[in-house]
Amino acid sequence: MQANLHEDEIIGKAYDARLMRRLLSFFEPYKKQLTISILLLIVISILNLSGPYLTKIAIDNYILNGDWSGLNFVMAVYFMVLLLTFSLQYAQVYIMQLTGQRAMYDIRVKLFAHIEKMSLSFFNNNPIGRLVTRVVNDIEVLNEMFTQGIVVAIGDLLTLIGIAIALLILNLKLALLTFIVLPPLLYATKFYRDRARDSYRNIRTNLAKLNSYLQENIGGMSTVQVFNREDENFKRFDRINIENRDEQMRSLIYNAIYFPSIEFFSAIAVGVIIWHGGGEAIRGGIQLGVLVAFIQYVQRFFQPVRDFAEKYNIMQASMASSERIFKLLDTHEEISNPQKPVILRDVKGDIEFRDVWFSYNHTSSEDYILKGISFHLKAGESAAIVGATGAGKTSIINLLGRFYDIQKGSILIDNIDIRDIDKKSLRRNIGIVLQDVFLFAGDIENNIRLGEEGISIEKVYESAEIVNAHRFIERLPKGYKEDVQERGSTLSLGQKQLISFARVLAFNPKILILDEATSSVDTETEILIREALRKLIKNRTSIIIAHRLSTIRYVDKIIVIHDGKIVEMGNHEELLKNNGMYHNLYQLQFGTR
Amino acid sequence: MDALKNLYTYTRKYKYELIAGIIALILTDALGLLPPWLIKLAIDYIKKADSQTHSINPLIKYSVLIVSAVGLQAVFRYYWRKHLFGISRKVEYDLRNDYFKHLQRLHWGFFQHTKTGDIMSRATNDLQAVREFLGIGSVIIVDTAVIMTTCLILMIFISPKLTGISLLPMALVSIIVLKFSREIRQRFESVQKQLSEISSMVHENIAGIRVIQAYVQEENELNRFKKLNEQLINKNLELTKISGAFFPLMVFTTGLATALVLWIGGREVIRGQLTLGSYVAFNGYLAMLTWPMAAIGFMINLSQRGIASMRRIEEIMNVKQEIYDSQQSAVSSQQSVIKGNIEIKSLTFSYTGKNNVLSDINLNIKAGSSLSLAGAVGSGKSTLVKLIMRIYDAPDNSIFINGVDIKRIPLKILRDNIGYVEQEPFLFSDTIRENIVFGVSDVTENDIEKTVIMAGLERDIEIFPHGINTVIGERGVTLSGGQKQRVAIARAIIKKPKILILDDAFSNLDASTEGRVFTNIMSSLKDMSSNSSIGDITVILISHRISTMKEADMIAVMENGRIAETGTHEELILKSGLYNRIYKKQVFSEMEIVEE
Repeated sequence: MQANLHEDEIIGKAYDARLMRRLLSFFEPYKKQLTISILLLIVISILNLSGPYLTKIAIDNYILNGDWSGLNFVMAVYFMVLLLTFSLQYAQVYIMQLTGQRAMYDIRVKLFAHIEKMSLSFFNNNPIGRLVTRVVNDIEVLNEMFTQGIVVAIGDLLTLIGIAIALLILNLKLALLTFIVLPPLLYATKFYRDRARDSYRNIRTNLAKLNSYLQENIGGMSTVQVFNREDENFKRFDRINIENRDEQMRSLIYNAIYFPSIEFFSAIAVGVIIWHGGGEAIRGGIQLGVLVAFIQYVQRFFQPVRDFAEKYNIMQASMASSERIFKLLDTHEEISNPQKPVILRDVKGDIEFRDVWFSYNHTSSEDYILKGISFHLKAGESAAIVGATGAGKTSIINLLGRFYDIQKGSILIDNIDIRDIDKKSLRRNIGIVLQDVFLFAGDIENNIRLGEEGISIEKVYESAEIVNAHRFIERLPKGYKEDVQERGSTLSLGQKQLISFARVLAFNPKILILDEATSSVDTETEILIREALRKLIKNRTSIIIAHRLSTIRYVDKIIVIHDGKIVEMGNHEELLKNNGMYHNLYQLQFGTR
Repeated sequence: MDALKNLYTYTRKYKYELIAGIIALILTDALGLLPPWLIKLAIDYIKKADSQTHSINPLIKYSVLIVSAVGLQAVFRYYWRKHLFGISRKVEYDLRNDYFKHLQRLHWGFFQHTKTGDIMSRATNDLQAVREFLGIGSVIIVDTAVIMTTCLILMIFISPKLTGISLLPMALVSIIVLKFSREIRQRFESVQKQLSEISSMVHENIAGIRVIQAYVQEENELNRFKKLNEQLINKNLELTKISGAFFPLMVFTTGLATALVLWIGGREVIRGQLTLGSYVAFNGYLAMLTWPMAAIGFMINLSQRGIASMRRIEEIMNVKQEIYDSQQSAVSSQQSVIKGNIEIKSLTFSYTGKNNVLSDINLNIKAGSSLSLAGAVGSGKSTLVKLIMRIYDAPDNSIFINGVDIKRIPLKILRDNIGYVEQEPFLFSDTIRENIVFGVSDVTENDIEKTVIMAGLERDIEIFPHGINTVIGERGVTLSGGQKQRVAIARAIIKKPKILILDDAFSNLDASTEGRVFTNIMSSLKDMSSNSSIGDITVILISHRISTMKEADMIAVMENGRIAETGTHEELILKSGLYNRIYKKQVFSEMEIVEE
């Protein structure tokens, strides 16, 4: 989370009508609940203000006149008001939370589904941490705004207005006099708000820095120790820690100035009421109960003002969050489904590349990775692609499953251009094994069949058996139910590869693309992997990005790629006889051994 | 109560600030008692007065007094806020630093067995709980004590009967806060847990997006995501059921107290047993009492949580440092100790005390020579090299460098002289340059350049956006496994160590790059040692590739924690042992294609 701190910390306006309108559109289905909630809020604000007014009635009309039954009546009303306030408030909070949760659910699911549709280039440009923050934290911020920020702010505003009206009705002149404290109060609030906002922002940045530095040091502690870096790293940590402490102190002082000053303004208002209002009362211009109610109202006036200053942060953060969420939602899916998608049925597995030109960078035509690649694989044939790193081998994997689109030429499966085929239907027929095996948290069984209910447990066992994975899986304490830690950290590289083979076999695709791992594993496992690979390519059209001689030996066709072009094609013996680049590669290999 | 004692030691440093803060707080509270009383006096005066005989001068006096009391109170309030809360921030700072420093002393095994998230949460959540306990807790104690006693005395003075009646609902406030806030916290934590589950699902989905898209699992994953989110809604609503009632209930109970006072008090005013002003003052004190009453409940929770959290922090702080300099450290001048001659004498080692990972290892590695460790995964190669660096501790008198037991060599000196590269090296999210000079304090640009070339990094660095100053990690470039390994190699050799340990350091490089980097290192090491004062460099190498292994002066083949055979490449091929078998498999069937 720390990494995208800078972008995420940009906080702008506290209210943006455009963003707010769009946010509200998510509440469209819950209009009724929202309306009820706001109506309740108005009623509650009025009820909340009735306490001092009832006190006034009790004093002026009954207590000062010695009216017992009147007092009892007022008290009954008072009690009912309290009870009603309680139940309405509870109902309002619950309804608002329910509505907010549902709307946030909708946004979150929409966002997640949107991200899952994105093409690979999107993920290359957007670090994982940033996307997770969008889906989880940013939406939580919105939720906070709806359930605590906006609603409370509306409630506070209503209360403020209500108090002002009540004061004006009770006594116009005294009310206006009391309002003298408002300008300095508002000014102090604005002053505080601006500083508190900066401070809040700095604190968030500092804390993120502090924690990510700590986390990194925990992760790399043995490295720190082996390199004798303890003192230097402690110094750096201390520096961030000091920064954090000092900023916290600063914010503390803002609070220590602002909160007491509010009390002070409130005292001035009370002073004015006693001075002027008391004088009036003596002269008989004001009833005593009015005076008491005035004092009680004024004391209630300052809480909402304080709240406002605090809610400001929430509002700002939520505007920034929604801006980021919408930006992500507005990112277009780069590779979209064709207008009239062809659904593949009974695929034979015939693959043809026709003069394929491809660049990861669509704006410039100069960075072509593939420059006019053409080859044809009949159904069931296998091909190995060899060539130096950066020659464009891996791009071929990405193209066939339409993870990227080509710029020129065409790729055909069973004579249909893949751009006309339904994306999902296309990918269902292609099995891809990547160089770095990705395992999901869960158990081994789940990692073989993924979320596919259609693959039976027998099928899982059978697939694992065929690719030599069954033996080691059985030996694990819980067998197929053995937990796989995040990214499969408890399994060896070789074991992970075997599991990924079992996975592709369980899905039984007509076409297989396999990027061989370069990393070295111990020799025993290496042999298991090799045998498994041989079984895997049987009866399947296969393209293998090969790094091992053993692999090359038993494919039908070897394609040698250099600088984005095919330089040679044929089987092992033919290519050796050719005396070309393949021959050189092969000789070089034997020469060094 | 150890936790409390410990907290006390941290606070003692700020004793005077604490006392000053408490005095300011008491004064704040005391001044706060004045306004309701002044209002009472004013109202009673107004009620008695009639317009002819009475001037408004006393009213002016009361107003001015109220304003000045609150003004003075504001000053004290500023003062205690700054100091009492400030101390909690300072203690937090001290604790955090101590925690970090302590972690730095702990050995590798601790970090292997303790989850990072767990260590982190103690430094974040628990530290926060301790701070809140210290800051808010200390304020509450003083506040409650002062306000409760004084307010109660004044209230009883005004009317004992009203006090008794109004205290009933007020006691309820304490109980509500206590019960509710505990329940709220538990439900809140369950919401947080659900959120973190959602986070990790999203994280995993994006990390594995290629698999998900390639196997067309988007729908299935979306359904799983929806399910998790529905659970989140339910947990949130469970929370709201309680938390939503909390505040309204507080308002209700305090309102009840006010209403009761108005009702009973009103009757007394009518009967003439109570003046109107007294009633108003009583109401004022009652309002002042709300917060301390609620605070008692908060305080109980806060202190329980604070002490439990302090205990959790101490759990880590009490973990003993396992690897440290021995009492009788040998010679301190590093030149005389470390030359690179490593001798291992009948070394047997186990992590747990039960199953031996290494048994009876005997090896003699001459200064300036190179040793290859061969063998299957789990045969004990990595453990052996970790013992040499004292990442774990071997038994006494089993590993010697230049005839000195490594446990008698100061750790700093030992590690300064060893360069270590792991299979999966840890790099810091800093620039590549900073990562390379990680273990050295003063290096020349020339040194860095040479090292980069030695590690075979020069071409990679050229394509990075900011060259060697490119930041590694999410904001900068993401390095491939091979690039990471080469940065780690550079980081180790720039130290000019006497001993270089390469623990499967080339596993992510393809065969040709591995060959190139390794020959580079070996030849430049030879250059370095021949024309400088460092002397010979000893190399210990772990690799799976015969082509690399055979370059070493000696090869030791390990099997189940023992050394099965030793000798040079040529000698070992001729024997029909384990090495011979590995060799045959690799050369005849596992040959890799050279990629350039």
